[in-house]
Amino acid sequence: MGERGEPVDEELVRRVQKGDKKAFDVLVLKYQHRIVQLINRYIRDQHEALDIAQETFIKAYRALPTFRGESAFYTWIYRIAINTAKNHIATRSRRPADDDIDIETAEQFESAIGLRDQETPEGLLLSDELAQVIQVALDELPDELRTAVSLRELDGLSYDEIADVMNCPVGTVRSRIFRAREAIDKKLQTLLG
Amino acid sequence: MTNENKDLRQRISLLLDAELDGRDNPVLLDKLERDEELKATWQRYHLIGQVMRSPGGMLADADFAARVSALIQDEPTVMAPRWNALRAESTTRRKVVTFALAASLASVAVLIGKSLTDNAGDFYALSAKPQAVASIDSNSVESGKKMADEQFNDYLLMHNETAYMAGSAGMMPYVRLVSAGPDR
Repeated sequence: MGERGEPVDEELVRRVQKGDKKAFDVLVLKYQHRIVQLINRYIRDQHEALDIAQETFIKAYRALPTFRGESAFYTWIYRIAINTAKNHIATRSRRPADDDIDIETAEQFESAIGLRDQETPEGLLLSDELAQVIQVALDELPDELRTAVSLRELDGLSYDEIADVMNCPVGTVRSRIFRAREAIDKKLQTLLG
Repeated sequence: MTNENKDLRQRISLLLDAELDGRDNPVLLDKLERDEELKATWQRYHLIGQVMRSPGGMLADADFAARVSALIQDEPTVMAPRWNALRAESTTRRKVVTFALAASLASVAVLIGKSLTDNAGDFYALSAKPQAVASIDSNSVESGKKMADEQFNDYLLMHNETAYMAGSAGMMPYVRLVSAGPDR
């Protein structure tokens, strides 16, 4: 997929740079899964991957005043994520394997990885279910809706290109993609309560 | 779902695909930032795309964005310099520096040119001097040159004999080479 989200990202970045913190929330909602997945390629432990992803967004927020928009926001935050993951790996490799955490450190860092519950949290269990629900909902879609949303999400085609491929007006493409999302979203909402 | 909600959600779908008219973006983003329901829709639509692209890939947990948002609230508000203004200022500064450099170079060129013009008389006078020297008796010049050569050779011989005392023996081969005697 190309960088077609850029105008929206640029607008959101501009808003954050003017002091609008809520605009950053919208960016986080947009990129959270991509960043988590990217970090998970470097750090297999899911708890740690989530911590690093969180750190990535905080670092990005702090560094936003220096972001000049010379690259896409996504590639910029992608770099931050990779560097944060690599630094984490380097720090971990310097740490003794059975590093005990004293009580003072624990008080300072409540979210220290070493003290975390090692069981899979609810959120992560839910991820698998979410993926399953989405896949089933996609399979149940009428052909023209599934094709339209797949051409968009998997092949990254623009609406004009999809209209050419499906031999229909662009307005129909808009409607099909929206209806496909709505149908899948309905099932998602049932799962999420 | 009300018609207004449906319309907003459809526009969110278009915004997500960068297919919304650019003029509508700011208005919709204003709503998106403040309306929790719209934000949830935005989040789920992105989730759908992500799962389609990489089924089985790790996902952020449901509270991830809320946790980041809470941490951001504790952060000082970021205020970036206006890069466009800085760029414009930098361009202006570059123009001023270029102009100053050009002006300096021009001044130097004028000064050099003036200096050459002012000293032109001396230059021509110097050019004329060899003619005056040429008018001197050539015999006396020859005898003077011979005397100087002999004195210089005496000096070199003396130097050759005494230089080692000053620790400069290493120069001797070179000195021998250049201290050729007068033509015989």
